[in-house]
Amino acid sequence: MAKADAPLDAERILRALSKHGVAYVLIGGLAVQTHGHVRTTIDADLIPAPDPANLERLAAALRSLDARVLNPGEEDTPIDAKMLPRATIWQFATPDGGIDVMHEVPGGRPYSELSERALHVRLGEIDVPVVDLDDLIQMKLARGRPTDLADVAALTDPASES
Amino acid sequence: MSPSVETLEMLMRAMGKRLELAVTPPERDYDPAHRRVAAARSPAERLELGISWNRMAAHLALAGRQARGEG
Repeated sequence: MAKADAPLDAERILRALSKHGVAYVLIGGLAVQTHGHVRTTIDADLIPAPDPANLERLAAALRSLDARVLNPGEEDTPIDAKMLPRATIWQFATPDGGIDVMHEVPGGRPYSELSERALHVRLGEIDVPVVDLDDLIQMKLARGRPTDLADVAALTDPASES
Repeated sequence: MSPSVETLEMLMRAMGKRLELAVTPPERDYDPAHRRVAAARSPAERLELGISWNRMAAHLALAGRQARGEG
């Protein structure tokens, strides 16, 4: 199953993270949407708190979502707290869509600062920490792909202000 | 940047042309009116809507692939 094959049900993913008490900051397309750009995304991108106990909770949440590793050469790697720090970026496929777990993002602050500055959004009864708009823009500028630059243009477009 | 502005200018001169740089806004791939509507919503409403758009877009893409016989 390729990453884009499973329709993204981000709510189920966010609920699983909340249920397992995972500390994280939501970045990427879902954060772009939360900050007001009307576009779609196919995966949930997040930066987890790096402490081993949190990575244990994240691994449990990923297993509860039937996640599979997509990183080339790592497809058979069991998901646990020991494997998570081994790569800067882990890509997972789940029946609820793709999840990218990133420990570092170019242009991004350390997790502790991102978390402190995050926008806390209520989704039903769960709290979703979403990266601060300025931090998101810095990450997008550092990444620099056409889609990232288009996101920045949209998020900062004065014509979009009411 | 490759080629550099200097190199490009030199090439233009060699071709008997003069390089002029201009900045114009790119074509938007979104409607600013939609952005304005989104801006009027709370972050929680925007996240909820985003989640439902993603779900709908993925289902439409899947339905499209199936309709085209692509699996």
